[in-house]
Amino acid sequence: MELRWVREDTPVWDADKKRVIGGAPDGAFVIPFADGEELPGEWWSVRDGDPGSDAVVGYGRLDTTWGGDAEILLAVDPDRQRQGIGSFVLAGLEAEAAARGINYIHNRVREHAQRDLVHDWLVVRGFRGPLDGDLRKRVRAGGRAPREVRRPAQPSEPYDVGADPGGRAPGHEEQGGYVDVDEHRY
Amino acid sequence: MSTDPRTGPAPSPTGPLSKIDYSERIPNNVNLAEDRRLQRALEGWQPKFLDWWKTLGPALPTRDVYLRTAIAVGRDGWAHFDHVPMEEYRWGIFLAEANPDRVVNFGKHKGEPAWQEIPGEHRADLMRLIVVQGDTEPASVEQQRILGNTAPSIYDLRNLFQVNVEEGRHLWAMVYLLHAYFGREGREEAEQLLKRNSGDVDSPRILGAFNEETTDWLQFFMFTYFTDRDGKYQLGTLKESAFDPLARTCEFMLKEEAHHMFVGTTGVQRTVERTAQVMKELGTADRDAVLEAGAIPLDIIQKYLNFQFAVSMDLFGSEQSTNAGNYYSSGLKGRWQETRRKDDHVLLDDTRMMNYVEDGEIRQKEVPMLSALNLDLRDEYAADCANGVRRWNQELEDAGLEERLTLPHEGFNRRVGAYAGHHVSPSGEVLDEATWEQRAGDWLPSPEDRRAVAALMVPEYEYGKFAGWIAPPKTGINDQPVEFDYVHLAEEGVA
Repeated sequence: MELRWVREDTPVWDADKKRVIGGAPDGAFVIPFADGEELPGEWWSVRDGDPGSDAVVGYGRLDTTWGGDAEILLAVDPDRQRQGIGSFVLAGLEAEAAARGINYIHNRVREHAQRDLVHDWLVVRGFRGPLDGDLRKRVRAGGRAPREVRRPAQPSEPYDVGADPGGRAPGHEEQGGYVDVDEHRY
Repeated sequence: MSTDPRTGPAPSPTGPLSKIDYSERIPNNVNLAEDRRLQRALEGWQPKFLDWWKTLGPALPTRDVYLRTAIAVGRDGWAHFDHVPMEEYRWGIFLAEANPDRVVNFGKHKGEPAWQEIPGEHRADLMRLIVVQGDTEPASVEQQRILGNTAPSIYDLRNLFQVNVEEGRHLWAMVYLLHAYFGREGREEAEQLLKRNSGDVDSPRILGAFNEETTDWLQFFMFTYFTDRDGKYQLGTLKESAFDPLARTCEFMLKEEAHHMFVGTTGVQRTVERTAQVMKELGTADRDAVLEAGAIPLDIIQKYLNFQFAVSMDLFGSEQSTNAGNYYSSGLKGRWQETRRKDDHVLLDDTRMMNYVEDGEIRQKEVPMLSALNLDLRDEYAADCANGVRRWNQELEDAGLEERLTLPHEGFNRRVGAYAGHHVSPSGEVLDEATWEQRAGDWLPSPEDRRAVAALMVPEYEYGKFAGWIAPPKTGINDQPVEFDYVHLAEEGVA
């Protein structure tokens, strides 16, 4: 699989975003936009295939509210999950943030059916924060944004989140769940 | 009286003069003694704050400093001045007077009573706003830690320390809100405010400009003029918040912040005044000649101005932000002088123009107002910044010189927002990479410029005397003479 990171110079609410972002579980995103409406923030799409292909499989967005931290939005095509695309988007957003001198990225997981899993997914990737509050991660300044990355970040699932509905997994370590020391960097 | 056509006249002063309780371990006007649990939690945080102050606060040992301390939160007679050992400064919790009839003035809750508790759906957003604001307060103290070693006068040294202790108090203001309204998570965030440090590789302060090193006093003055002014505008938007304790906290912080603006405005003005004197005496603006005469050349002052304005503009974030719009609609964060704006205070149907770069040109497009509130605030800020530049230029005009300082274009040297990734000259010309690389040294301070300024930063600790690169102020602090003993250094105590 070859993934490409493509900046959207004039992001609008379109069919691909409806399919990818609108395909998330109910409540995961607030989508107040009308068809064709221009979108605030900086957007990137992830495309699978040769240059020129329109097969969008994910989106990332940075919303820099104050200079120094930015909220991320990350969405993966519902039919293409568990293939490392989310990790690819996150790596892209971190690099873009670092290139802008941003020190921290943050995200809040809204209440929806897979909230615990998404929260844990972010915690495994270095975010810190409560389930119902801000999750924050330090990004390194001085990085270069990946204009065209030919190899995706390898999927790095230390456990099968889908097979762990009881929550004894990363993010639930206080209850004795599995902890991947390397991923958590304790 | 306001001359801005968008706003009405300034509101009449209101509010009684309430006293602050200094008999408590933590001075306050929030009846802390009636909430023992909160009081204990804050008393638990207090020694950690003092440890931080001793470790990362001002490095120059002093016996005591002539500082102002808030004794009331009304509009008049609010401060007391006296010599105080800095580590014994009474950092406390002061909120502006409550208005029991206060309502939300904007957004979808417009007209409803202001909130005394936090609605659950806004808890995370409000905590983020308070954490980011709180993170900037100790950051500037850390940035300015060693400046006392090169103070141009005892008067300026005192002003530096006044700014430092009040930034420390502003940290207290935010920590109070975190402890009082956000439970365990708030207490954890309050701990983190002391653990992140300016410039720390692993755990830096959140906002970019608060991780830049304050290398010398010219940068300190530029920082207090441009970057503290960003703080003024952010506080001004939080002062409008539907969450009343936050609004009242920020209203009082703004009162203290005014002194920080004064330090920046007059600091640069006195620097320019001295440079103008030297230029006039020499009959030249030649950089080496001015440096040789012990003043800071105007072109270096301009470069420092360019740099600090640009990094401070970045603090406002992207021109368009969904979060900023959501904060407004939810009532969390208003606009500068919200209640004086002549519109519907909801903004759902409003638009405005925004600059962006396309095909090597700066163009304009119409965008929804709600998405562009960062830009709205930044524009207010930039207009305010221009006032100081006019004041500084008055010094040059008074000296009969033709040279002038200018505020650079909003797109100059930007890393955040619509201009990020583009190169724009101070006059607003979009440049290619090669031209930028060739010219950037003319517009931004080089290491050599900073070294030249640093070489002039020789401490002057004799009362009433001033380093050669800066003119004395016209008056002292709190009607004291300029030569007043504002600071007693530690060596005096030993001697």
